[in-house]
Amino acid sequence: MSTTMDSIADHGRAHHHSDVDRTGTPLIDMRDISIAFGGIHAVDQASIDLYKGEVVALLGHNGAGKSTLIKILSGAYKRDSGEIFVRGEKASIGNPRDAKAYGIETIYQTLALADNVDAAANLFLGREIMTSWGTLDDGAMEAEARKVMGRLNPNFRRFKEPVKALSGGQRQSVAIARAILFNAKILIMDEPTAALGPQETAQVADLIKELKKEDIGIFLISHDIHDVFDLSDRVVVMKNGQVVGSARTEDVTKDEVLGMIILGKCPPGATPGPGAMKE
Amino acid sequence: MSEATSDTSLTRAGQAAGAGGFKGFMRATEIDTRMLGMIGALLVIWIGFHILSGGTFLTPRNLWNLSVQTASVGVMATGMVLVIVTRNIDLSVGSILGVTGMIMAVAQTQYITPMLGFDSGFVWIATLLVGLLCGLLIGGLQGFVIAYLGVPAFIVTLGGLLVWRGAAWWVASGRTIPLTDDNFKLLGGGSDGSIGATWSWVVAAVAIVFIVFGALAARRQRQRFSFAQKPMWAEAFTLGISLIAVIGATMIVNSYLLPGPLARRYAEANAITVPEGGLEISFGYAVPVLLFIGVGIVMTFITRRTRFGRYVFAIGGNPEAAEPRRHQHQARHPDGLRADGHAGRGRGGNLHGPPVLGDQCARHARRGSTPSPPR
Ligand SMILES: Nc1ncnc2c1ncn2[C@@H]1O[C@H](COP(=O)(O)OP(=O)(O)O)[C@@H](O)[C@H]1O
Ligand SMILES: [Mg+2]
Repeated sequence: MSTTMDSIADHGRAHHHSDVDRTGTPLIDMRDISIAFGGIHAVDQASIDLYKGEVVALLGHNGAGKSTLIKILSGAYKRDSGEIFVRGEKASIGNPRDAKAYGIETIYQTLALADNVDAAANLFLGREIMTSWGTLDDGAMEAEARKVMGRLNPNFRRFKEPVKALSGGQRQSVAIARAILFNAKILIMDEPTAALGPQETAQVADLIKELKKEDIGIFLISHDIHDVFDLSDRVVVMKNGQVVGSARTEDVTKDEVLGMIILGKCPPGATPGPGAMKE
Repeated sequence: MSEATSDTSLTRAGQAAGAGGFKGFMRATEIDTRMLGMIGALLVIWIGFHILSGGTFLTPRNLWNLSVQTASVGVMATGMVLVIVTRNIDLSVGSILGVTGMIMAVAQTQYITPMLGFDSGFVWIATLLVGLLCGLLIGGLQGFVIAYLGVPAFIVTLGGLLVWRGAAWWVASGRTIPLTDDNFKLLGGGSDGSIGATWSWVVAAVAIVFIVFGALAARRQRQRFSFAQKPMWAEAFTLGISLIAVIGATMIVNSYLLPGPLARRYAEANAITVPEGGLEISFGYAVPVLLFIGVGIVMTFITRRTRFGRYVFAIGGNPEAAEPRRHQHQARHPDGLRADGHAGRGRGGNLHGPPVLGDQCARHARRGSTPSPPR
């Protein structure tokens, strides 16, 4: 996104105060994760955690290993080494189905929805509500859909139309509503706004705030540093597969985060990781 | 936010009964604009033909004949809907129609009738079953090649077009095969294969009961979930249109009368005395048309009310999911499951590409060069 690097002039610190409780066991704790693709260490000894109701932003250049790291969490890739703990318990995630069983859902950039059917049908695809006659109970599904969507995106009204007629932001909210109906407790959003316009991006930002209220933990990968500062409680920066450092968003400035992304330089407000530049 | 405003304006138009303008009207009545467009196009064609033909097109006789000729095409179209929503095509329907028809004819005249006897009431059913079985086998074969061997539907059914057309010729050796079973002939329409005025009105009455019942059920359903109801005037409007259509169609088929000689034969057969002004015996709905309506109702039920139908539409809207071999359930998350399908192809295997690409990547990787994967 174009706003990525041209915000160096902006010295503003995050305005909001994060009230995330980080004393208990984290929802997700990934420790010393590594994976290599034919000699390339895509992710190298990366550790990252996430508490409930928290948004952790993953930042880094293209190729830094962000997507690969969270794909290990979502079960799309198998790690070479390292451990994943879900709510303090060691989890074995070997495929996407395992991840879903742990309440981990991924919202894809491509917004994987079935275009020809409406929002309710998408929300319930694969676990339709049936009538006692064994037929689809569209009324009940629409009613549920209205409930969930009412929480996430109160302006949404287009329940009768196939989702291909929806805007990117509306599709995004359908995809997220679907994950929530699946009882997602951890959401992975890999560049959720990359395909969206400014207004829709704002809509997704609202969505994320709603999800936080519902105690859902979110890994957010985004190139838009303004969004990141607006939405996240913590930032984790990766470079060359390694974690440069992590910090509570209010403890660092945008410039410092850009320094982490570009140079790998860890500022005083952040906890350095293995990838931090040695002084 | 422009989006929000358009959303709210939508509701306002949908809920306020009197919302002005054509758009408000369409929203309130919930009439599909695309369907309205198609009906409009049909009317233009009909009226155009009526004028060009010097007034012979929009006559009961012609419309009745068209209804019979449309019935078989319509039955095939209900199946074609499922093919097309999955982004496939079937070029071979016509040829399959031909070959199954010929097989049915040969089966009836050479095997079924000799076996069951000339006046058996089961001949027509047995013939139909043979036809259904043939269609099932041919469709199943083509479907297997498309879905499991991954050959594009266009290629398979283009081949089918040629093969089954040839097969039709081969089965019948190019002869005309006259059918003998009178029950079976009813399925084709004609004066015998029509139900007459009284029964046509019975059909119309049943249809009207169903339409009214359907509208009531829809209102009850909305009430159950407290959705916004269709305004009463809109309900009355759509109901009125449907009822007029049913009654109008029935009047048209009933005003097509048996021509003189046929009427006389009918009168003789039924021992009716011919009154002064000649006999007025209506054709009424043709049997094939009723069959088509029946098939249409069943297929609508399947596509709208069953899981199967829902998935056909869902898969059609998500081409990544349309590959049935590995990914049956991933209309939802093609990305993740695609990775699933290719897991174990080895490091360096492209986890996201189609299988062929994945294999190539794996081979490259074995030789030591890692292709940069598309992301
Ligand atoms: N399937 C794969 N096969 C080979 N290399 C990969 C694969 N996926 C990612 N990589 C490599 O891993 C590194 C990290 O990629 P990625 O996680 O997509 O980065 P990011 O999401 O941070 O932009 C890159 O060098 C990329 O080329
Ligand atoms: Mg990425």
